[in-house]
Amino acid sequence: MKTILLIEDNSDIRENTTELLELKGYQVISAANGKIGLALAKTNRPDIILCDIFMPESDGYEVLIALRNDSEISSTPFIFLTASVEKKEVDKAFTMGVHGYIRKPFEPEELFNTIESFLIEE
Amino acid sequence: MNQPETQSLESEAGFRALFEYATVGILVISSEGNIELANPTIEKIFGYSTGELIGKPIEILIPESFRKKHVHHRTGYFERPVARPMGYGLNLFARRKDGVEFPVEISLGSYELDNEKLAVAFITDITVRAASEEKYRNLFENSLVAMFITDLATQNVIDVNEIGAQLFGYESKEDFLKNFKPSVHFVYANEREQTWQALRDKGGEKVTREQEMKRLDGTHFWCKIFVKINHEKSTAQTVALDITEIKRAHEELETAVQERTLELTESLSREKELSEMKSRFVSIASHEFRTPLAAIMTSLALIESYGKEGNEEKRKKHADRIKASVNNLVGILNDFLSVDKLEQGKVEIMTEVFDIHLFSVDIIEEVKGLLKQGQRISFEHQGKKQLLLDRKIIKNILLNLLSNAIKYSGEHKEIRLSIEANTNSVSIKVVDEGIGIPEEEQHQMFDKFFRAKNTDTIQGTGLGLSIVKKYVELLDGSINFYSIHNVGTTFTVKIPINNEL
Repeated sequence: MKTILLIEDNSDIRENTTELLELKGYQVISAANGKIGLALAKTNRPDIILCDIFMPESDGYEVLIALRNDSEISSTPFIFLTASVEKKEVDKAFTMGVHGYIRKPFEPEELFNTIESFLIEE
Repeated sequence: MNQPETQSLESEAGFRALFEYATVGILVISSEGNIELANPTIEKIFGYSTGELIGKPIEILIPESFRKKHVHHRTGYFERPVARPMGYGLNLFARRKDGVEFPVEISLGSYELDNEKLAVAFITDITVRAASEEKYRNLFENSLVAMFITDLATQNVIDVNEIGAQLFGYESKEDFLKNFKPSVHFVYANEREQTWQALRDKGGEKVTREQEMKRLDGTHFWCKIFVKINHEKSTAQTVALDITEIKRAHEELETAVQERTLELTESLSREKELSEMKSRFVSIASHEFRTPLAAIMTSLALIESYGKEGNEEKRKKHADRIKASVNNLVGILNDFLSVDKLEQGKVEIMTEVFDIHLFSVDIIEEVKGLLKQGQRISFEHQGKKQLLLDRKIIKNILLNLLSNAIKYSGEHKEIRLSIEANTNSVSIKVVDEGIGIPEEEQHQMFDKFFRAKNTDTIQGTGLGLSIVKKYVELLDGSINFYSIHNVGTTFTVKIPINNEL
């Protein structure tokens, strides 16, 4: 079973996304802020990471940078799940090495397809 | 070496030539007043044939009315002959053979020959010149603008037209010439000297000035003058225009233009503010709407999946989540609409008597859905219960302050609402133990769209407090807060109660 780490401060989105992924057969571990998310990434070694951008206690960019600098996790697919849709935000994310970018609101199918595309690549 | 025969002008032949061909008329008269010599020009301008005038009395060339006087003048001249122009300052006239009189200019001289005193008169027919001078005179006298002639040597005004005299408040030209004193009419005495200086600097070329002047009665007026020097006559010619009205109109126009520009600038800045607000709305709406929309979409997808399994409890949870998210969206929309209504002055106050205690309990119930884990709201009320207030506005103020207190406080924190009312006013206090407002940002808290730095990761439009403040002002009330970063914030709203019903 593939493990997905979900880092998201909004409880509605966190709970709903977890439920959707679990129904799809993934194992989900979740964190309500960047700091906890980073710790869970190191201890649990997920197969893929979904992360919001604007959160308290280390935002998405900080999490991304920290993981890129950790050789053991740096190759784990990292996907932003965010309400920021402005071009400059998207460009910044890809410049910093994010693998995928999902805009809120999203169709569950879009979420599943994105995740699967990265897991198959592995 | 023999000198050649002299051909100089001093020879008799030279004088003869001068006499014969001079374009000025030359007469030689004996002390008895008889014409001794008359050159061809004299004969031509007076209409006599060659030699016809010789031996005739000089008076035949003078209009009859002046003949008697002339005999007297002539006799006087021979007693003390000097070279001079005749009749200084007077218009002299002569009489032709056919009786027609015409203006002349005459210079006199004298010499002695064989002990006889002789007078020489040089006569010029000035008919043409006199006509042009007359024309000029008419222009001057009848001009519709004020004109002045000033003597360069004395700087006295020596001539003025009627309009010029009136301009300064004199009854007539004569009144002006007799009584005009520059010191009476110049508001700034040095301006007159400045004009002369400017004329000297420009070699007498036209100088234009605008200056404030005084009439005889002391009233002020604005005058535009054009001054030019007539070197030939050693005078300065001045044309003056009363520009008081023009200047006033100009000033009024200037003021109107300035006022209009100000209005335009203000309206432009309102436009700009509106356009900024629109783009802020788009950006905030985009961001703020996406999270609840994502919750709605995912909850809907989950309801679909659970539907098949018949899991009633989970379906209800997601239905509630959808409702809350929709309410959240409606709240954001309402904030924008409130700002718009308030700014356009479209909010009307509608007061009614209601029980503030029960009312507050209802509102607390309403915001309980927003409480984080372990958060609680305490409420205390002192004083009057039945109050005459605008229910909707008070509700809006309370909802805003309470939801802010919840939003910006952590889990397990307490929020306290206290209301104190008497006959004249009601005071609402909301105290939280939240993140507080950084001191350096406190002065901006009521600005539209402003959000403190420590709220970066907390959703919000930055409109709530600006709306509360506008509502409070609408009710003639006041709003204050006291906050310490990371300790908590207390908002106090005080609203007067109008008891006259």
